[in-house]
Amino acid sequence: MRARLWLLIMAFVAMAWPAAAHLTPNSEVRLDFARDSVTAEVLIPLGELGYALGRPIAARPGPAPPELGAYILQHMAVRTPDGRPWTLTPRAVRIVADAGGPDLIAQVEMRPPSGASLRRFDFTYSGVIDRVRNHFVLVLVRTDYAGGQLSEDPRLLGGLQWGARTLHVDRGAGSAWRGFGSAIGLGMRHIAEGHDHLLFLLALLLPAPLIARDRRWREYGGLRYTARRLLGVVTAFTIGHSLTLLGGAFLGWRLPAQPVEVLIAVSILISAVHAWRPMFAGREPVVAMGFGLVHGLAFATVIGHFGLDPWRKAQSILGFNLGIELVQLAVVAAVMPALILLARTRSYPGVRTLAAAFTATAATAWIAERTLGVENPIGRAIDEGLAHGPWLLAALVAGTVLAVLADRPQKITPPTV
Amino acid sequence: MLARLAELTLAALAQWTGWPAFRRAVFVVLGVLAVTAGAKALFPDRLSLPLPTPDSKPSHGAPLTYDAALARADQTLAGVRPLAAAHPDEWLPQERLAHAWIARARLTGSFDDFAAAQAALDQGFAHAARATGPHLAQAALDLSLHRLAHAEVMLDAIGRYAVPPERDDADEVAGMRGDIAFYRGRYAEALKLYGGDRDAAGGAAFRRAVYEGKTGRIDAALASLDAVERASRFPTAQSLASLELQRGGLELQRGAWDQATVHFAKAERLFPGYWLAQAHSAQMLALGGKRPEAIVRLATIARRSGAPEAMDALAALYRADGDYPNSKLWSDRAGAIWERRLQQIPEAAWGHAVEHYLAFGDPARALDLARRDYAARPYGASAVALAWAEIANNHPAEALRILKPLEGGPYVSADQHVAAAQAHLLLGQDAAAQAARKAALALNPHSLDPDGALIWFGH
Repeated sequence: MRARLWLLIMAFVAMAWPAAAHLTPNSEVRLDFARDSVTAEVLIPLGELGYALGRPIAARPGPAPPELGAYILQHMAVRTPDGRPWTLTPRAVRIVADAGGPDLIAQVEMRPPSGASLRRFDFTYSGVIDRVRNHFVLVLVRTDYAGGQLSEDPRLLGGLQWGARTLHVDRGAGSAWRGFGSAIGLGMRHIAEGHDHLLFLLALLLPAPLIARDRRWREYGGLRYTARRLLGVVTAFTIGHSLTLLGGAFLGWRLPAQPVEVLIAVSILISAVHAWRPMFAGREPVVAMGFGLVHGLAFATVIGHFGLDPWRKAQSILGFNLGIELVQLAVVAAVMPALILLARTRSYPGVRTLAAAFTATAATAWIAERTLGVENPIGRAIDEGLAHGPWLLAALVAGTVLAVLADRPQKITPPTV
Repeated sequence: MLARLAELTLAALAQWTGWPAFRRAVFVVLGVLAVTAGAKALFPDRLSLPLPTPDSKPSHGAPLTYDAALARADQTLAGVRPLAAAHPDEWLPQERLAHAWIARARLTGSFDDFAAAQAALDQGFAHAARATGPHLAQAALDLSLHRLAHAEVMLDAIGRYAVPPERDDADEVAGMRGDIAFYRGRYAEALKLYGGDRDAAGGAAFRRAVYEGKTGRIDAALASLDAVERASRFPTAQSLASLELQRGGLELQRGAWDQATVHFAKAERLFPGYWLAQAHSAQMLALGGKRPEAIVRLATIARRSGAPEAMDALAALYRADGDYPNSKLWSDRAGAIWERRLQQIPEAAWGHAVEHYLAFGDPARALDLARRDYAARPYGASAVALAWAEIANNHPAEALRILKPLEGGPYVSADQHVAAAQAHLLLGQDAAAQAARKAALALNPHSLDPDGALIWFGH
């Protein structure tokens, strides 16, 4: 029996399972649609390219050897549906190395012949797949303003492989309104999914209904007072981030991403402390504008990625900003009634302190994450918690109702005789 | 409202503390028992105390190194061959000769050895009287060589014996029927034939481990392998190394590369010189970013073992470096061996040769082989291989049709979702592709890594 068992085990090992295929790294072609041209960014894993060319290519980051640019042009063709060729011009060919391995990245500008549509063409590409049968090329649209594609996630058009080298691209009739709508959506998504921006805003809202006196937040200041302060904070933040968004998009204002992200987290920490004890009472709009400038630099990198022409860039910025404001207003509209009611109860100091502590913890976790470049469990947990926004809002409303009920004057029932 | 709730709680506590001590104790004990029983029923795998991982030492009664084991296998053959030659018309000596060849084949992985075993069994059957013969040995060899139908014929023949087989043999027959059901995609039937006794050791536990591994219950599979090892009294070095390779394979399946590396290294230590264990470790070197070192090791292993899998793995490494001449050199060598194997024992080679042709050869050939393998063994792994072959032949929709029955079924692998994702991508179905990728990553966080192309062993 024992011998049979071991024979069985060895049988399973010696004749191991039939395996699956070995998914090799794909190539990608990312298309950016402009007003009068389309730019194709071709990405080829260097190992696969060397294999196809029959010789290894040195993975030295920087400009690629000229023959690799020529290789791309030789393996790419674009034609109108009636067969007229487009003009292809190589723009930049370089080798980059990241965690995924070294890649060749080439940008090719593609222009249609006169009178032909920019939005309908046959894209033929045979790089690597003409020699390597299990290599795949994914074709994606990264930017198509007129088609309403303005997102950080490229949209897939299809795949090419051995025996299927041509993809018919039809982006339909484009319109500026679709691009504008897409920019609004992008702005809304960006702020709604960017927990740090939202938490910053909420931290500024927390003390808005209160009057500061003797370095403490005191009594409720009334509806008009609260509305005036809210308007000031939201408007100043909007002006701040709009300025740097415009500067970043048009004038190339840039700061490396990491310090900007750290500064955003610092701004949240300072706002959290201010929500606990007034640090700059009465000057919130100035501070909100200052921090808005920092947040705007982060927004600018989003728009800057799309490589739009100036006119479309201006439209995108307007739409993007509109999207941000819509979400901000929605958040203010959803949260403020509860905060105004809560501010009049005895529970508010406790609630405000707890919320400020939570915000400060989140900000500290993000500062650590963004400084060290390593995720930490606190940051992750807070991100996961903030992803359940509607539930948090429901909890706030429920808590407000309880606090208001608890503050009701007790009715004294006269003893019955 | 809160105050009212607190008031009720306090009242309940006051009532509780007023009860007699005996009644409280009975309630506590009953409560604990009820919670434990409920939890045990709901989570049978999670609520048993983990036994320590076994760390058996190899028996000194068997060879301790690969070279010694190979020498022992050759020695055995040298002893059995004259006996079989002297009694060509008796099936028992032929069966012994076949066993000796099979033992050698399981060391070398050589199809020549398997073919020699088959020749000996053929000779045995040629002279066996009606209703006698080496049926069990033939069934075991058939399963090793993926011949399910023929294995079933052998097991049916055993069922017609005038004298029923002894219990061990009967258990083995049931286990083999379970294997046949499993490879035919009849998973529930396989599990039933493997026996429902969770505490079983030996062959049943090992088969259950394989079943659990292929149905996505990696921890349960590892526990079953531990049970197998714990129950064995004098394990050989080869068998312990084989168990470690199984464990490493399971870890690889869920993307635990570090754990897999530890198991493969242990396999190497337990049975020094074993080319298969060395190949697994060399692969992990490549996955760990030490590609040049892995190339050197795999080249040595490929030359020494002559195993086409090692040559393919080496060719893949060269390919990842963009080194076409060396990649082609080794993939051509492997291709020649796969072609020979396809001639020798086609059924045994289909499933493995598919890999080679998908990576380095003609996709049409890969599709033909994958279809044959799937027809012979219509279970999860061969379905996934067929799907990949369809994708390679520009039939992504067909690939999805093949993968569809696996959805929600017992067979679980990240690869089926990776294949589905690739098919969806080629069809331009972005959302479905993303969903499939997410499913793959949930099972194996490394399933979409570009280095996945370097995994040739233990998956």
